[in-house]
Amino acid sequence: MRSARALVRAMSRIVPRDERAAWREEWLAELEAAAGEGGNERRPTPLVFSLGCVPDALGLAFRGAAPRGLATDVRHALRGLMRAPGFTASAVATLAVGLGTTAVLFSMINGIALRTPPGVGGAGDLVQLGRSVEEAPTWEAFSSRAFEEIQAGTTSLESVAGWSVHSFALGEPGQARYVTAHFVTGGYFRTLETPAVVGRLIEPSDDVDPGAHPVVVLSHALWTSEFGRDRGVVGRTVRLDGAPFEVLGVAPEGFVGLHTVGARPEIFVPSMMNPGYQGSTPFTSWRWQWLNAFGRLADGATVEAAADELSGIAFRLRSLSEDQEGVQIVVSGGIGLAPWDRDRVLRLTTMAGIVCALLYLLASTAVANLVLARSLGRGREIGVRMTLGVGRGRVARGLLVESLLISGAAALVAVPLAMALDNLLPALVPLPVVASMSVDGNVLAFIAAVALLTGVLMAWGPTRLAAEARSGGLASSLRGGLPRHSRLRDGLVVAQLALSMGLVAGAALLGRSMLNVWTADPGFDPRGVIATGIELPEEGGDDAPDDTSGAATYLAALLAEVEARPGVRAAAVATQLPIAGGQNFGGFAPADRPDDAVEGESLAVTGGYFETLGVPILRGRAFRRPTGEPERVAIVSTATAELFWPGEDPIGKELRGDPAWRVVGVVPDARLRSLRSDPIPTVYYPIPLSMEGRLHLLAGSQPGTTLPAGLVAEAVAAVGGPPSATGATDLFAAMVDSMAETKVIGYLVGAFAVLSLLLSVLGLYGLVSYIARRQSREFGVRLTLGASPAHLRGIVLRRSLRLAGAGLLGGLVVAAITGRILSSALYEVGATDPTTLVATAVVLAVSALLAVWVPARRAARVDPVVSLRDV
Amino acid sequence: MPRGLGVSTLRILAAIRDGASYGLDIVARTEIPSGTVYPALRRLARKKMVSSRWEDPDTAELEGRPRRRYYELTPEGVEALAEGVRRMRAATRELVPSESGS
Repeated sequence: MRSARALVRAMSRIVPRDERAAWREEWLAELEAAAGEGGNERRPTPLVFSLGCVPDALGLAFRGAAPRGLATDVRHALRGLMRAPGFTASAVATLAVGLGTTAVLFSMINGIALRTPPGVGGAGDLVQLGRSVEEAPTWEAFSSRAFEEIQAGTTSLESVAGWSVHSFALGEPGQARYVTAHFVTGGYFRTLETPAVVGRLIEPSDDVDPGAHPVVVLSHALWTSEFGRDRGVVGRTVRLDGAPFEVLGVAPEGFVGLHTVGARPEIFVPSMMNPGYQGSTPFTSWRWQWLNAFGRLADGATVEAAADELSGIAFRLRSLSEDQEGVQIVVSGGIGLAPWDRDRVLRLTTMAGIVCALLYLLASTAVANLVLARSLGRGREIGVRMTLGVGRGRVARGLLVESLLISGAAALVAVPLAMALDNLLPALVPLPVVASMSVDGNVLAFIAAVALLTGVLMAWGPTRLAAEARSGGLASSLRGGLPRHSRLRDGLVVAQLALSMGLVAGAALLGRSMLNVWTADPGFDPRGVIATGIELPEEGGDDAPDDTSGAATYLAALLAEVEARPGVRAAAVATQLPIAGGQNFGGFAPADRPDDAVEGESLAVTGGYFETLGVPILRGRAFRRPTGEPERVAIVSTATAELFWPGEDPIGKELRGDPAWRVVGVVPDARLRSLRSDPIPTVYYPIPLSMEGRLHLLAGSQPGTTLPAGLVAEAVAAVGGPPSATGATDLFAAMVDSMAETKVIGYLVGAFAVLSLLLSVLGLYGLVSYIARRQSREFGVRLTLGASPAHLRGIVLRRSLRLAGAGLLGGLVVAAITGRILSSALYEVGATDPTTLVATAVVLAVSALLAVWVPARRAARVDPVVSLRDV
Repeated sequence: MPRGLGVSTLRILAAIRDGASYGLDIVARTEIPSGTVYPALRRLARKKMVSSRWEDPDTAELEGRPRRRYYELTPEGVEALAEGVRRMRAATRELVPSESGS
């Protein structure tokens, strides 16, 4: 009773002012009456009764706004839909699934590309800058020197800022964990107009001299997880790579700068704190291109003006350094997806988008088919209504209202569905997308627009039928005089079959790709190999970088310790992990022909590397165990050997270097970057002991054993080395993960394929049932005249299978197109792989046959007496 | 009144003719949902087919409840109801032969 009253009061707000008081008084009195003297059981409960105030109030509020009789149409349609709950529920559910999935995809694009990243102000005036060269357009970062030139030279940009991704070990030695950091220039937060949540953010004065500003800004997430949102964190000291840094403040929740795709930054550190690499720092270098740049337009400046000005600065850069030869500065207006991420994300979203669109098309086709079937069955009702004087336009409007009600209800269901799916999205997307993808106004508007469009399109078929019914008049409509064959309906079923064949074929292709990934041979064997990051011990501080024998001893001891552990077959240390992490592009050339230099992969490893990864040494030998300063030797891949010394024995040849590197071994080519990339020329060097930074320790297990993730960390502790990461990467899992895109699209398409197959089989079933019912009288007559049931069955089957055949033929075309679209996610299977297409066609043919057989058999069994009576 | 009143509206008019005086009463007698009855009453009032008056406040107070709004048919309403019934009869005659014919 209380909620009923509340409803009346709430609704009274929309009633026109002059009627409001009376309206409320009347309804409250009615409620009172409904609640009292309960005796009459035909009377509704007060709450149900009170619902009537909603249309009443709406009617008064929008009086005159709606065309005459619209309310009646809505009521009529609603009643009609309620009378067919099965039809209504399946139509709404099917459309809602289609709408929901499409909306999720839209919200992904919305989150990544359209919405302003959190914590960024005045986004409209931001521009992103990229370094390119004339010959090969690209989008790269800038060197510190170039960045300074841009900063000093521009007037169209009011400020310029740069950032770069780094990682730090956060915490006390022994308990540190790696966090993702952004090095940011002093103007970074100002340019983004980002406010601090606590304390203050990095300012220009915090980023002046190299190494002089040990300060850090925490991300909101890190502040929450590590400091329990303690506001007193400002001024505290945290350790980054062992050194003390003072906490300045906390960035806004969700702030990632402009970096919407990639690992979420957990801390922000002044760019001048970049420790550099092997003793050198980037601050005075032209070559060390590390700063991603963006700027804010000055008042009145346009993106075009900024681009013109910056191309002038680019010419200046060319004259300043040889390393800037041919350099261009490209400008991209607006924020959203960083230009270098666009390709990757675009490819994924295009594929997902097309798959979603296919599904949506299929869902709406299926529902259109249902609506059409229903209106065919309602021919008699429509005929009666027209005879009673309801105009043709009015009937059409009624049908439109009904189909809009269905799509509207589907939209209402789709919103919570999209919200639920959105929460799953981050887990599904193979890219670490950090943008928020929640449902917002844009997404709601998208759902509403698509639903409206669908509603209008769905009404088209029934409306046309109504027009045909009118021409036949009442008498014909009473005889069930709607057209016997509906081309439209046939067409819908064919389209449905074709679309679902496309999806099933796509799913099959992706499934085969995943199988191929599992059995792929990248040129090494990642099964049973785990890898953990380790550090070399510091040798008596920075003053004694030459004393490296300690490092060699340490590595040898550590490797011996690991190999002595149970289950370990072999172990090695390398600068990079195949596929799972890191790549180092380097140039190399034969010592006697420096002009023949090629770019390829170069990595440093210890002797056991090839054994650990099951790579055979084709010629020569592996590296020796680390004992002191490593030998000046190299091992080359087959591709390198054939490139430099075709037809010759590469052993003993030399690669350019000072002194030169002598080739001591040849190994087979391997796909070190990803399963998709072809092997590139590779050179392996022994690990240099003056190396700083992180190394990877690889441990291969004996067959049938699984190595514990903490194995390396324990071994490091046992030999007293600097603490390493505690986890381990499983190389095989990493290899499979590297194909996550294929996996995700595969799941998506697979789920849709099952759904679509179901939809189209149901559609076919419905159609054949309908044909059979339509012809049941004719069949009755034929049976009476002596036709056999088999003959009747044949009639139904022939017609249905013609449709199925047409659907399958069309499906081949759709499947070929789907394959082409998905081709970048496929692995070692052709986009129009004949085996897959044939198998798909067989699956669909069998499903279609089943869908057709049951109603056809039923039609043939018709009882002549019943069929003749039942008109 | 070009197209005439719908079945629900006619039934509401009939209920009022037969003595239903306020909204809930009409809903209970006709079993037409309240969401149909009230908007129909507003429309009928606009077409001057029904008129409404407020219950005497003293009577309501005596029974310890808020005053109700009572509806009654106007002469136009009586005429529209009769016309609607005639039309329904005609339509039924057209329908019945085909139904009894099979």
